[in-house]
Amino acid sequence: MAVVLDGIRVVDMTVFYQGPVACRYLADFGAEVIKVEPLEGEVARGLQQHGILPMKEWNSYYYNNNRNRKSLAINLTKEEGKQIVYKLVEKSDVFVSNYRFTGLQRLKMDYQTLYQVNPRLIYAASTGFGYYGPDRDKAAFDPIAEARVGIMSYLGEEGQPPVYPGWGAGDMMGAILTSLGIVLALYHRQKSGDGQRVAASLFGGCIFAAAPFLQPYLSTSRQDLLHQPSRKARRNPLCNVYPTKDKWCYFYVPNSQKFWSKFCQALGMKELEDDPRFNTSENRSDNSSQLISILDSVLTTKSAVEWVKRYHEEGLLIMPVNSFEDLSRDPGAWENQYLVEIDDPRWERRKTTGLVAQLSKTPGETGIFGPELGQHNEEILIDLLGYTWDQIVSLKDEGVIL
Amino acid sequence: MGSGLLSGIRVLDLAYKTAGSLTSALFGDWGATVFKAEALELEFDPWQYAVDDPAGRDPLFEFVNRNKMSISLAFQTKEGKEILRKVAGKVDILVTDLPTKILEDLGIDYATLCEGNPGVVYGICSGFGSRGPDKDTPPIDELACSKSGFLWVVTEPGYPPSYTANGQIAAAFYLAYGIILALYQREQSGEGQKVDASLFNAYINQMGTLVQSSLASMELTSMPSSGWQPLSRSTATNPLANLYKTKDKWVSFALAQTDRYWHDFCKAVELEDIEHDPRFNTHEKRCGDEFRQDLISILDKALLKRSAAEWQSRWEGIPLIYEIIDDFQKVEDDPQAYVNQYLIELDYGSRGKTTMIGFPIEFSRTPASISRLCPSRGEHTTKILVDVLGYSSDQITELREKKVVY
Repeated sequence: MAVVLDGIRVVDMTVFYQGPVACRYLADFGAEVIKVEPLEGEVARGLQQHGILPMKEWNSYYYNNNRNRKSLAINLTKEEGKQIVYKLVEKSDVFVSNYRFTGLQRLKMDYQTLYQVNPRLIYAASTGFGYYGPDRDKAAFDPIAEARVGIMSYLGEEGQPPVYPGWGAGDMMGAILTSLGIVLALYHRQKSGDGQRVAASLFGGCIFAAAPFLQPYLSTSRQDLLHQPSRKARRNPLCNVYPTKDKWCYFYVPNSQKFWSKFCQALGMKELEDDPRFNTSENRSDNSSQLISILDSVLTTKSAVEWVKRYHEEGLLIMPVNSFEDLSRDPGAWENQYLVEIDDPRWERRKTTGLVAQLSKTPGETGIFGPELGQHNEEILIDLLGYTWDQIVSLKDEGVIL
Repeated sequence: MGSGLLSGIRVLDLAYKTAGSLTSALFGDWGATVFKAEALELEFDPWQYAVDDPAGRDPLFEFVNRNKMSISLAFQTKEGKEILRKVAGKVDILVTDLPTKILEDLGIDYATLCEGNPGVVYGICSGFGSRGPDKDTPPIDELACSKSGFLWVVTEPGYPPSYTANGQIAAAFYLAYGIILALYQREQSGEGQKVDASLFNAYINQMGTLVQSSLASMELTSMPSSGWQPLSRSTATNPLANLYKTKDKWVSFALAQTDRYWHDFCKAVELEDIEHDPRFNTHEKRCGDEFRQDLISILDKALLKRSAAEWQSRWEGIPLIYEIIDDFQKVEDDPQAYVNQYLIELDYGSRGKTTMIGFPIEFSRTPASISRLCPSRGEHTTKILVDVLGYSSDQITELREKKVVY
């Protein structure tokens, strides 16, 4: 079976999250990714904690973000170290970095320099705030970018703390945009023969992520579109999140007579159907707050499972607000291979997330977890770059490689 | 547009929701010719479940349908379906989110289409994937957000869940990624293939490391299930990477390495007296279970003392990592967004200028561009019938009279 990016070599000079994951998406579809890291290892190798979850047993952050690649541990501050990477770039198709531009300049790994080394190179800058502008070198932190876009102020009920839309969701947007830019450039290069520079960022990703709410405001300048409407005052009260005995559930029902009748049937309150406050769709909208109050109290009398059964019986859509624990047991997630088990020779099988897209003829592979530091030094230097064992011994002695 | 990334590529867009529509729009940005096929029948309702009134072209619709031409066909007539099949036979990429039954009825499901058009790359954005108990559930983003755990993890305890809407945007990018990979593959094999992405998977991946770490913890530690809680500012694992209310606005700090910043931070928030407090004098203690909530409470009080503007002027020149939380009006005026074309100004003629979310990726040789705004329904029916299928004007007139096309 063909492998899409077979023969494509990627030099990965990335750290933490957005950059490594961008490279992972390429590796998942067959690219050979070589992670260039300092002798002490990429910063994320030393992560102690990830949220409430300690990394001491196993650094799932580093090992997942860096799946499917090789590690070259090398001292880029030494001239010989740079030369090794230039030789590698000469034989590669893609270079990806989320280092700051000033850092890349200092290391002489900037676009202009590498373009001279390899004019067919796709050079991908995957940064915090974009290739241009006064903030091009601003450090990339997801909560900072999300705050800057305004989505945190938009979400949530009036008066509640701002809602931070996911830990690193912005980084994940930046990651897929980087990979997408790279494969577009590779596709274009197939026809034109030209390499080019591609740039994507956390900030750009966050702006797009906010689009469903941000674009309506930008197009109309309506002040009421700066904040999410309260769940207590929805125009269609049948399309709303409601508390049940155990979990919140998202009820998603059209506000027509046909569906209202079924809604009341599922609710077990047929008498509500002809209540003059709610007996037409217009009335339901006008008296939405009252209806929501009633539903808030009625729906807490039964569990989510019970309501799902009743609403599905009427052909209505409802979805519990699941936790991670629920997700870990979700048959749909496993059957579609959105969650998978990875078989890595170093450990017993581990559960993790799968691929982001499925191709019918040339599927990707989740492969194995991230490499140990410098694990592929010799393989790369000898097999790929033609160094001898003697040269390798000298390079180690001089502190150029691990 | 000969130099565009996707010059010469034709796309048939049969997407009715935001995700698939955005994927096609992006292809248009990158130089592909995109035909948006819209049902002539205004009551066409793919999932028999229309929650909102049938769209007018609202702002989100205009955003996800820029750079496209529109052809309107009678989806429920034999002749309308035949024209649709003919167009589908001539494109490189098809993007859809329609249910399989409808695609089969139209005669353009993948199995059928690839017989006559073996090079077609066929992209589907479903709600929940092709397998499992929700394989037939419509692609409704709120439901995918709920099922995935995303909505749960961003909910502050004590407050209701707040739907974030970002999964459908991520899904658009994931689908585009799969399609471009398939296009790249086609250059070598000569064959197209089917590409699947879903809203559910998009949300799972948007949470990335959190899901991965949770799964690892379930397997490797004895942490009880109650240990996995939504993210909450009142119990944040790092008080210096958290949100705080000032006298007016909220501020977001992102100081991951607290040892490095502790001295400057205490000075900045006028809490010099706690710098050497034995409860907080190491990173481990500041972030540990024993004292971190004490620290959060202290910071809660301290930040309230001044307005955001006062704090900002006080923090000039101090190496803090923070951002004041403002609303959309702030990004609307953000030069960083415009210089990178994340936001662009478009001329809407009589409607005047409008700000639109622009291009998410920059290319040094082959820049993206807007060559046309969102079309009106059927605006290019004639053009597409002539250019793509070679119909004569008499044929087209007849088709219009018979209400096969609009």
